[in-house]
Amino acid sequence: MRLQAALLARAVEYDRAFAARARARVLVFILVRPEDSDSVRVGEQIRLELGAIAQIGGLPHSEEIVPYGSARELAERIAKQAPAILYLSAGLGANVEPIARALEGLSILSVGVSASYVAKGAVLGFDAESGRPQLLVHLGQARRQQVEFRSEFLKLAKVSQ
Amino acid sequence: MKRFRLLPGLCWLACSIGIARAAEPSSLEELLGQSIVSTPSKGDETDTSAPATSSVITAEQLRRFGIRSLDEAIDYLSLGMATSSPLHAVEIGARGVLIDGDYGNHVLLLVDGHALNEPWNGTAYFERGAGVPFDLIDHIEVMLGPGSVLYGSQAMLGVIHIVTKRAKDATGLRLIVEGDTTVPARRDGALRGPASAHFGRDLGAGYRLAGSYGREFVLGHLPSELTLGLDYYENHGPTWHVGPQAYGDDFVTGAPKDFGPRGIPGVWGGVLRKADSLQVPAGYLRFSSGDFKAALRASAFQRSSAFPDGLVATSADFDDPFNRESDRFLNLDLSQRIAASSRLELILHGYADLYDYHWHNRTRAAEDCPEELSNGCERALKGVGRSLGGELRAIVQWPLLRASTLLGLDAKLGNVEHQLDIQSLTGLEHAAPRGGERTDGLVAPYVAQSFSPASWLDLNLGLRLDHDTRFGNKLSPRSALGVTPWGGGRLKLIYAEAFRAPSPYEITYGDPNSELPATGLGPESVRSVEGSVEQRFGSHRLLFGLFRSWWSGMVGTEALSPEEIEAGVARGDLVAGVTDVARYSNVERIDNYGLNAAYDGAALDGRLRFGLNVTAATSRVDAGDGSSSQVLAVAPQTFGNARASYEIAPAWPTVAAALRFSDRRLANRAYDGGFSPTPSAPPLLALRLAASGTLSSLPGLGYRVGAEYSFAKVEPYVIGAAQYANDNVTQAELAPIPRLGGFIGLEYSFEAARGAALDP
Repeated sequence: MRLQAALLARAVEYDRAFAARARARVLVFILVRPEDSDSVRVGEQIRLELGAIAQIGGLPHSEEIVPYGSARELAERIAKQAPAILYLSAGLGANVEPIARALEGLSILSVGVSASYVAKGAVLGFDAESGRPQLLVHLGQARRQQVEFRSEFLKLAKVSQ
Repeated sequence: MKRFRLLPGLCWLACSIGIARAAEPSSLEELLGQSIVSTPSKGDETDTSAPATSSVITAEQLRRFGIRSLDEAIDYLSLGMATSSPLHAVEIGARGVLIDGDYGNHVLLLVDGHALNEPWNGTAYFERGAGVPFDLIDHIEVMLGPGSVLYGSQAMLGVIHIVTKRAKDATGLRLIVEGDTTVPARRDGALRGPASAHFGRDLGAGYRLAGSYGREFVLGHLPSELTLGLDYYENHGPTWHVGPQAYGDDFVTGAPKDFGPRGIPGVWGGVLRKADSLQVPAGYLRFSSGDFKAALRASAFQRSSAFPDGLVATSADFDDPFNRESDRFLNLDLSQRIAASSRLELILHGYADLYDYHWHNRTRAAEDCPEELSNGCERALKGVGRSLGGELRAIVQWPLLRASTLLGLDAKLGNVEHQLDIQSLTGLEHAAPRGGERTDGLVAPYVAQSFSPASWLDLNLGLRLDHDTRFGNKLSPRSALGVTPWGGGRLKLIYAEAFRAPSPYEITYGDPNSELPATGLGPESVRSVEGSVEQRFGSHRLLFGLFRSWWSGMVGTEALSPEEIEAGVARGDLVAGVTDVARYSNVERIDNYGLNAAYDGAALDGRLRFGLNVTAATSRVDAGDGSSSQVLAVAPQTFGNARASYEIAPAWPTVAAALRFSDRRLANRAYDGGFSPTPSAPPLLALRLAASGTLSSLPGLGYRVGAEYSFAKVEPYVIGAAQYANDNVTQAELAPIPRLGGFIGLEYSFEAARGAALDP
């Protein structure tokens, strides 16, 4: 979780649209399934780890744990509160696809806890191969969510369409 | 005065804090360059933040450098560890300490968290004998220093953890075929040319057939996966020229000593054509569904004992393939993770191990056999070990200080037995068999507490108590402090202790002619303190560390006094008339200190990669017999490796070069052999070249080809019949090294071929 938080804080610096999206303060939604202990545990952990980082993308930040109800409710809340980042915690694998569809057109960076989330429509995800961390990017979904990663970032990541 | 003594420490702390406040977080490239390790804390973390010094060898590195066995990976790519080969099973050491003849039982070997050190003697093999299908390896974590705080016995020099690939990284079916050859050498170690007589016949030859399969699927709504790897390696030769050693007469018969049908009476040596062989079949199956995991591993390691060397046998017929060892392993591992609450995670872990060992030795010399078998004898030692264990782990995440608590309880039951049979060459006469059997158990609670009160500070405290029926109680503490004083920098200070439980073999072994079973044998212990500084800048990493360790209670043989021998004879434990009798005892101490340094880097968009690892140590052993301490034999004191690889272009091969080196090493008989000059192996330098890639004309087909050349000619093991100097043999002969070899391998991935067909 610590490495994920550090990678996320650095990755957003390569998103051309991030500053405009975040404005003065970065709001991070951490989406969890309240009935899933693992989901809540991972959500709490990433909240703690992000909280220990002074700035995200050069800006102050705050995190909010958001219980998942439906994709539509989530999209409405995002439209209203305008978070810059949506972190998808564990246990949401089956919900990533409807969430991705609901986020189309909104300006938000969705980040999945695992690689499998990217295949289902999270813009950014994390994996490990040969004992080394990996960044995964869903480029098509990034465009649909107005995330514009720089080419030097895409060189460091594993990109899918 | 105390106030002034504290000043430097306070200044250092204040400066660190001041710098830390100004510290910039690591760049993305630096973060992606970190390794993720699971060995130091039994959970994923970066090597930078882990409470240990470790290096990670990736599958990509194994491919680039044409690495084909665990010892090659350790020698050419790891920091702080090195192996030494007596030409049967390699020995492993770390940071200047290598315990000669320990069968690898001072290093814990894990595969996906399952300990492979067997229950009878704690043996583990660090070469092909590790018995893990090589193409299934995702990465190898090499953790230096004591690791008993979480793992208990064996983790004294360090822990080597082989992590296998997940199905997504080994999708589909892959088939591998590989061949290798070794050029024979003359008696003086000089390589023979192709024009020399019988060159083709005398070449060493080996082959490997392997396959792997991986698949992800959904089982009852749960993401599941299965990986399977099968591997078979076999090697024969090359031919070795050894001796001649003018041994002289058999002290029983008075006639020139009989070295068997391929030997010359009274003279040990000649051409070894049949006695160098190796077979290693291995299989590994891993299945997971949701949070449940199961793994099954089976392997065998059969190798010849090419010549007497004091490790496996001190006497044997010359060039006799009957002289051999074999080990068989069967390991089962089951685990279930349970997210009990948003703060508590439980892991239930069960494991079972079956193991057996066979040693065969044949000699026609009367002096090497019991009195009643004066026409020669065959020895067969069988050891069997079975163990069954369970572990409960609880991980509690605290909302404050980014604190985490790991609580564990490990319990294990083990049963071992061994029997030594000695019979005449005809099989009609037998000496009384000797053996033993023993059942032991252990219960070991442990706790590890980590705190990260600030982004630049990590504290880790741990303690494990092993209650073992073999020796009682043993505490293994560890404390580690990690500070990030500036961007990309990391300081670590670690104190740790570890132990090795006396093996059932050491506790029970006795020989009425020479050895009494040990009494009150305790665990070996090591205490270690180390400090390191690491700096990352972009894709470069620099590490420098200092270490000091104190080893005590090391098991060695202690000569018994005439009174003790007399008492042994009176009890019936010894035969009447014996004069030289020993017993395993906690007699030796080792004092060790030194430094290690590492540099890894990349350039040209990561196409050029390079690295260097260096360790320099001083290790002295005190035999506990009143004599002064001595430099530890066999153990390299200055050693390391350097490497570079370059990806020319996508359609071109990746070329790689690596070298390993070590300083002069004293031979295993340096102190007790009586040889002149004192035997030692000259400095070692070995160079390895490899090329690997895929063929664009044949999608799915990959290749690798390479060669290895050693400038050194011998390893520090005295070989032959003359293990000790005598009137005829005053100079020691050392174990030869395979000096020049080459290999070629092909791999076909059905998945890659299918992908290429679908997306031309």
